[in-house]
Amino acid sequence: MASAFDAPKIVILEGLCKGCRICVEFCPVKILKISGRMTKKGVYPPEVVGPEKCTGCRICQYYCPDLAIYVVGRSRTSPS
Amino acid sequence: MQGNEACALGAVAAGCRFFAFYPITPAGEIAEKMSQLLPKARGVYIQMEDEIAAIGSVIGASWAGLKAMTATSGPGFSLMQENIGYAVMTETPCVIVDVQRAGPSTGIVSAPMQGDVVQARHGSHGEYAIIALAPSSAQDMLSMTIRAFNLSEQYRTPVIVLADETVAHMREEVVIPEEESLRIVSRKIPSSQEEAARAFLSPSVAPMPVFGRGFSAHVTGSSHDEYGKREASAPEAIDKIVRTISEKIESHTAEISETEEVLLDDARVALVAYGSCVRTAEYVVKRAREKGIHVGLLRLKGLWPFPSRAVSEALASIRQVIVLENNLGQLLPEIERAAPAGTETTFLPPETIATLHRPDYVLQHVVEAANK
Amino acid sequence: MITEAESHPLAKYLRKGAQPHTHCAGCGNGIVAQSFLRAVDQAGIPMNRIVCVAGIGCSGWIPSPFFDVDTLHVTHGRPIAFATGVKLANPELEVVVFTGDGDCSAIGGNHLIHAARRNIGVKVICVNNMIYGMTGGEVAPTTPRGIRTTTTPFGNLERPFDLSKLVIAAGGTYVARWTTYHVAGVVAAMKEALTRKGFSFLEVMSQCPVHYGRRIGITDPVEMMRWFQKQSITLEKAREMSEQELSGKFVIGKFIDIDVPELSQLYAEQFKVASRESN
Repeated sequence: MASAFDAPKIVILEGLCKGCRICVEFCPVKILKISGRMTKKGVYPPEVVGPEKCTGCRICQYYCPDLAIYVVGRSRTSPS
Repeated sequence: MQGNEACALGAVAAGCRFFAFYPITPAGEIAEKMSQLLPKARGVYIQMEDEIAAIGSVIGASWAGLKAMTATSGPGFSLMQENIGYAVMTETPCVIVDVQRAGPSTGIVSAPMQGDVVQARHGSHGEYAIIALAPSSAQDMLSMTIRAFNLSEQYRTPVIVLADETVAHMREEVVIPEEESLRIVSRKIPSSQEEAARAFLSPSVAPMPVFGRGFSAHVTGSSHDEYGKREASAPEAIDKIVRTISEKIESHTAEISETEEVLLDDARVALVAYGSCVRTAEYVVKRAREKGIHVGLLRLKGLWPFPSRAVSEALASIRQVIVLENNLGQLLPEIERAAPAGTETTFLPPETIATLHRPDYVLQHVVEAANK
Repeated sequence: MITEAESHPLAKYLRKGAQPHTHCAGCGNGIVAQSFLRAVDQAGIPMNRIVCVAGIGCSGWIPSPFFDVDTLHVTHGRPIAFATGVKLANPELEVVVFTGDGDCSAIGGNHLIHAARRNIGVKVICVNNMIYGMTGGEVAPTTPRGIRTTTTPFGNLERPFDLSKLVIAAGGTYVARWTTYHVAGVVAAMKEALTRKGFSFLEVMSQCPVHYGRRIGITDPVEMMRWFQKQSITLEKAREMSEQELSGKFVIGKFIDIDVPELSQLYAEQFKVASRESN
């Protein structure tokens, strides 16, 4: 069971990603980067670089037009 | 009672609880009567902003579970065609009363004409089949409206009551049936999620997954499969839709489209008529028989799907057919095609279109035909 | 074994097999779609009470087939009329219309103003991308003057609608505008719309990078969202600005939220009156 102090985990559903980069550009701590790997749909999905910096703000999750990225775990700024 | 009023009574008796309307002559009395009757029956009467919204809201109400109807005349009927096609495509039960008046365009609002017959069959774009009934009396306006609802629910299709100004505005004695004696048909509702999922394109008419029951129905006017899932790139899908929807109606023509034979057994001359022309035809047959002429009448009560077989059989021993229509021959080609090979068919519109046939004029032609 | 897709917090609202939806990469429609599901989730509206009525245009593909709820995907311009029938036939249903700027203000304009006037309890989410996207980029009643589109190759001569003002003038009892950049505002407005009774109109400025964005030199969805951020002025601030200063800007916020008896409720009351009068 996740405790209030566990780092939030970012889940990326590459099969649904269309490579629009909205999550990458709007992440406030800039931990999403476009990976060099192409999916079989011809898309370069994001990958997480420095996951421990994730605050769990979920801007990536809420913005994703394809529901292809979401965050598991609590936001650092929210109380238990 | 007036024909239009009888229509409203029939609708409410059939279980109609949603009626949307846009004012147009000569359908107004239907709306007035519905606006008085429905609130007492906890039904909704709403006047929408145009005919397109009227038929649109009727379809929405039908999917939300109510028996729904609208009424209009030619100009409104033209506006409704896109959404009528949507109702066909989505297999939505609903009733559209078209009180035909003289057209085209604004025409004469209170003169009878039968100019929307082909439009009732093919008014919307695309290929499809539909049901249209033709009342000839105020009594018919009541009973055929009930029948229209029953057919629309049974076959999950829009049904058109193709009245005309004369039948709508005539006042005659109407027998209001006892509620217990009425046969009322309602759409089948799915009894399981599984049944609800296959909501379309069954030749035996799929149960209708009405909204609000957790069926997650997906209703679309796009080409789709039997689950309502959009299939917009495969022509095979639209082939299946077109054929299934047409077959659903056409294969049941005998049950759907009624005819009535009057004194045809020993006749060599026959009048074929529908709608208000039937009244003149009945009178002419009576007068001709008094003169010793063996003439009969084939009355078409259902126009679409066209009852070809019933017409062929009824005219089997007829030598001269006179077709009465208040137009320039809209149902005529179907009648000619169905008439037996040895039969001569004459088309007889009124001397002045947009009036009823003059009985003496028709009688004159009957006499001529009998002498051939 | 539960796949990661099924673990998305909103997965239960999606029809099986409907993902990925057919919107372009970065299309604002996807942001509107998710925002709606978040609003439904937060407001606790049960799915079997929701009916989505969709028009024709890219926005029509927000609920259809994506959401696992009763869906009525109708003819172009007419979702509000169909929705009126659904709501009056069963007032217990939460009826939500997804429509675009062309769908609801060009061909559907008549139905929009009358629904607002009637205060029928239908919630209209109007996705405004200022162009006809689905058909390739034609000028719309919301396209600013001067813009060159596929059908205004020499520049649009017409003035655009201010859709929110239009609905307010027609009597809309809840009218708000946000942009896809302002997701918090979008979700909050959707929740307010879903939990109130009367007619509600939410205009969401949404990026169409492929058709509209290209016309204004912004082909990247991220840049369009940043542009929305820059061009948006809150209602409070806008009150202190002149017409000229506001030209080309998007005034965002809640314009009106008033309590007026909702139409299906009025019908229910009239049924009681009518049944008394019959005897």
